[in-house]
Amino acid sequence: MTDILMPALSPTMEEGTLAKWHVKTGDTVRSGDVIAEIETDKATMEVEAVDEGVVSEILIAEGSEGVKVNTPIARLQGEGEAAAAPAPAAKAEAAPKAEAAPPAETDSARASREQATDPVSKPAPVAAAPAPAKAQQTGERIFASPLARRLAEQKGLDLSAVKGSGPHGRIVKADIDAAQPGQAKAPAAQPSAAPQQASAAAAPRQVQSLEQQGIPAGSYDLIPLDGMRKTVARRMTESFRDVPHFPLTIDLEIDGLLAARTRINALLEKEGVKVSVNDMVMKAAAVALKRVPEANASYTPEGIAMHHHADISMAVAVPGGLITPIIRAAETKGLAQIASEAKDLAERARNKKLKPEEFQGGTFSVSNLGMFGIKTFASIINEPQGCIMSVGAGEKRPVVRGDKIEIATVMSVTLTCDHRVVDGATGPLPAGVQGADRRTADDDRLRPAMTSIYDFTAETIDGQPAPLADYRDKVVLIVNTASKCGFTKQYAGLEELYRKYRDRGLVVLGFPCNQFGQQEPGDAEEIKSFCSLTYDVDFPMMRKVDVNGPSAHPLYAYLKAQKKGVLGTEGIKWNFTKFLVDRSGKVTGRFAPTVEPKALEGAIEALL
Amino acid sequence: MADQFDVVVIGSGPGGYVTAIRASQLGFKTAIVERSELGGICLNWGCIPTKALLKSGEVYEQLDHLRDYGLSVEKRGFDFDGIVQRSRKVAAQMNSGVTFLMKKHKIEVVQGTARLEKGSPAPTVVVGSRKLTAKHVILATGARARTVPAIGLEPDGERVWTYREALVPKAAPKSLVVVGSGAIGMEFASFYRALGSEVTVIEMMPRILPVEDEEISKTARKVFEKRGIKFRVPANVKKLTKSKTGVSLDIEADGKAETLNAEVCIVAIGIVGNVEDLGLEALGVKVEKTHIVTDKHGATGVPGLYAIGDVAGPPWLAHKASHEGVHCIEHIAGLRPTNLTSPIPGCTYTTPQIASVGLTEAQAREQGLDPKVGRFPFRVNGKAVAAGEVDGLVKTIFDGKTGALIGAHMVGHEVTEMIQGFALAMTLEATEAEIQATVFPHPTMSEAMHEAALDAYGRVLHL
Ligand SMILES: Cc1cc2nc3c(=O)[nH]c(=O)nc-3n(C[C@H](O)[C@H](O)[C@H](O)COP(=O)(O)OP(=O)(O)OC[C@H]3O[C@@H](n4cnc5c(N)ncnc54)[C@H](O)[C@@H]3O)c2cc1C
Repeated sequence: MTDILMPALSPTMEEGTLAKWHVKTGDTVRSGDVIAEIETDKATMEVEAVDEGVVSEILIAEGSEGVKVNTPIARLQGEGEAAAAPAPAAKAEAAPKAEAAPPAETDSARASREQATDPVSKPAPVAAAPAPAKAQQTGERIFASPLARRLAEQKGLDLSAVKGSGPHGRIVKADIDAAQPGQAKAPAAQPSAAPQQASAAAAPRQVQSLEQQGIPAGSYDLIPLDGMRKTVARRMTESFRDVPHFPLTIDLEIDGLLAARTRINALLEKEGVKVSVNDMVMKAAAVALKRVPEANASYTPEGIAMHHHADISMAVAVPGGLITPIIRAAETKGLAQIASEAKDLAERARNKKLKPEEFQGGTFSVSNLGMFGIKTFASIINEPQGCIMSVGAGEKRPVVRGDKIEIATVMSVTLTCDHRVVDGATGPLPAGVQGADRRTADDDRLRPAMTSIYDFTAETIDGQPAPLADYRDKVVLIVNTASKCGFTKQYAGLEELYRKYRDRGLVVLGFPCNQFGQQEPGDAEEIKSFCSLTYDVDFPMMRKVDVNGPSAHPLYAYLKAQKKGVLGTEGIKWNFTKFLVDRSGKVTGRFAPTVEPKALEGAIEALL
Repeated sequence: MADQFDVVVIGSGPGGYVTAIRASQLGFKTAIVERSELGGICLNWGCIPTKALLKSGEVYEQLDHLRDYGLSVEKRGFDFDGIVQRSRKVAAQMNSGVTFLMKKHKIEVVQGTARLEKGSPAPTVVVGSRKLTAKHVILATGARARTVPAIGLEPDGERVWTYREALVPKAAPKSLVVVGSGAIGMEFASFYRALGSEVTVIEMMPRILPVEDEEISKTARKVFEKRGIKFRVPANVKKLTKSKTGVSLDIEADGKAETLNAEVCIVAIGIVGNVEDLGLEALGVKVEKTHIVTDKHGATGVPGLYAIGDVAGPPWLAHKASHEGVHCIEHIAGLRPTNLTSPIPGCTYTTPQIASVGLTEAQAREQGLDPKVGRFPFRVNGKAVAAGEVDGLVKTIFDGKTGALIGAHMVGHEVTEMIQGFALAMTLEATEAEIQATVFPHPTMSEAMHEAALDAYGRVLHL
């Protein structure tokens, strides 16, 4: 006979509603079968059977509210097990009863004194919160009365799993009496959630009643606190009180981002995906977090946890509260994927259909109130995350450029940082976001939507626009060049190739770049004269560009994504990396700087 | 107008006046209504004046034993009027203390008898021509002596007294019958016996001080008997008849009819709550056996109306009244009470004194607790021997399973001053380990408390 216990859907869950039974007494269940639906303040979740057997008894009726975690909710009879009479204890456990009844009173004057206990003291039904399994290992002191300690020992209860209701959060007898026997082990709490729970036992705040504060009863309606409200209240209070937080605000010009969004959405139209500004902000934040890993971290008593991925929690308003579903490893995902995931998560959050793992355990939060016209705000840290970013409305504002005032679309974002994790030196994170937002416009993952180099425009060394579409139907060799490099003499070889195959349709495009050993320091004029004077370069030279990093030219981002280097990395290693593009604009080859231009003849001829 | 308050407390006993002080501390505009003296029964006609009388009796009785201490006195005697006057002076001093406290806490004292009328958000308090409105009204009207006029158990101020008359008599009676062996009855028996009265105590239950642990009440009885107090236990009063010179009581003791004659009879058979003429019925307040029914916070169920102290039920003790009042007003203020069990100790200030907290041994067994019981007599306690106060014992009761201290009982010299040690231990949820590990100063009578805790676990040192 196995008891099926009320599961804890989250480390903070204390009780839930048994919303629906999917099985009835006598049903055979196999492990993995959905047997019930549990509803908490945050979500509705299906309970799956772990064992096989026949449901011999349903202990908690459908629709029961406030079912404490670990209360037996049903009985399962294993195969071949004789049908046993249901143990009567089960029901008593389900509805914890008060302590033994007091003895009968004598009718003498002070008769009842002996057993009189403080009227205050009726053990309040204090739920034992599944709490930090870690507390004991870390030697954190647990305050409990001597009797509570002994009772816990006798019952085999883990004191760290019990929430104290005595003075200053001390665990007293009533707490142990109210704790469920199944509390022996804290349910698998997410380790990252543990440290913050240790403070849950903070001293109860003495609060004056509204009446006492001059708000008469009857002048307001009282909405009872539901589970979500209580959880929000507790978590926010604890975070705001216990996390040393500071806000950093920066203004971002997002005209580029908006233009990119329009472009991207046009490309994605046929796929039915629409990327929002918030999706782009999340992507930008994820990219920035990879660049500034200190901000993608959690404070724990054991040390700073540096998260491997940017799991972005996005704040979603739901009726009666707030929930933060997570875009996992957002830095690895394309905008289109982020957009569709975000849409799906938000929708299911509003319908309370999220699974716990979908809203627990993010590493960084993004909260956006821009749609409400909020200009700036500083969110409260979502523990145990190190930072939360508050995104305001994008609006046209005057900006000073040089000595002129211009109009730009500006969006203010504020990063609230946990100072235990993020120091002032990490502060420039928003700047990182700013860099990343530009890059987002050229999100690599969107490349499949951009099908050829003809989608890009470069700039000639003379400052003229050079749409690559001009080279349609030609074989194009694209090279990043430098004037002071060991490979610089390859200019000669390149010019030779150009001259040899020019008539058959080859074009060589040189993109000076100063990113490798700063071997291209000069300005356009210097580069131009160097090329023509020293190597008699006749093929088109372009304006100096970045080929790596956030400000890399979009063309290069595309080229690199199409043809990765050796070892599968995208980044360009040095000057004179060569990309070969066929007549349809497809990148067909990538050649290292060490490959002499002459060695490319075969490849070029094949394309011609 | 001026008669609007946040809180109006009715009755200024230890329940009412303490509640008013706490209310004022919490920022409530507070008034207290009292029909007679500030301080209620406790300060004026209860706890305090009795203790003054008892002290006089105790000192006087000590004179009998001066030789034991190597002392002598030429002529001993007492001025009965002086004893009573001292008691009244003590009461008056405490009473003016309450007056000062009310002023200090800016609590308006309204003299007069209060009555309740329907009102909102709380009933209106009518005192004479004044109508006091408040958001919260707290009843602390206390209680008075129970009498049974049908069989003559009714005070007449001459031959038959309640505690009221017993506190201010013209002279000490030569002979006295006390009906009821609870704390009040025994205190008067003890006092008058100390002054030389012939005292007989009648108790209906099988033993005296029936709420105390059986062993304690037995030990106490022995000491009382040594002092010359006589008992009829168990015994029922059939009829009391008065004559010019005294009273005669027809009783049935141990199944046999008997007649007791005495100058005076004191009726101490319990109390009844002051629930009359308050307008409770019209408001729909539930009253059971002369006491107002409340929830654990003192709420009566009528919006804005609360009751605490003696009028809200047993135990009828001043500190219970104060504790309930503070809890009630803090609850009203929205403060969260700590989740603790605060057992209420009980004390009887006779010679010997009796003090106890928690369960008796019998109650523990009734609850199926398998108690571990420890005892230690004062006879072998150094300080008790030095002080010549060797009567009595300390008894501790632990839960055999958990080691929690669940009861402590004492009889002996000044044990009322020691019981708080055990009360504190119980409130802190101490087990035998903490009490045994506590260092008790030597030489003190409190060492017997330590020994009794050790004894419960077979570790007693001085036996
Ligand atoms: C002789 C004696 C000795 C005692 N000794 C002890 C002791 O040693 N230790 C101990 O703990 N307890 C002792 N008690 C019990 C103790 O006195 C009471 O438990 C305590 O006084 C109860 O307090 P209270 O505030 O509830 O009521 P009370 O003290 O009875 O006060 C109630 C007050 O309300 C007033 N009142 C009533 N109705 C109205 C009305 N309608 N309008 C206005 N005012 C009203 C009364 O005049 C009274 O002043 C003793 C009692 C007696 C009689």
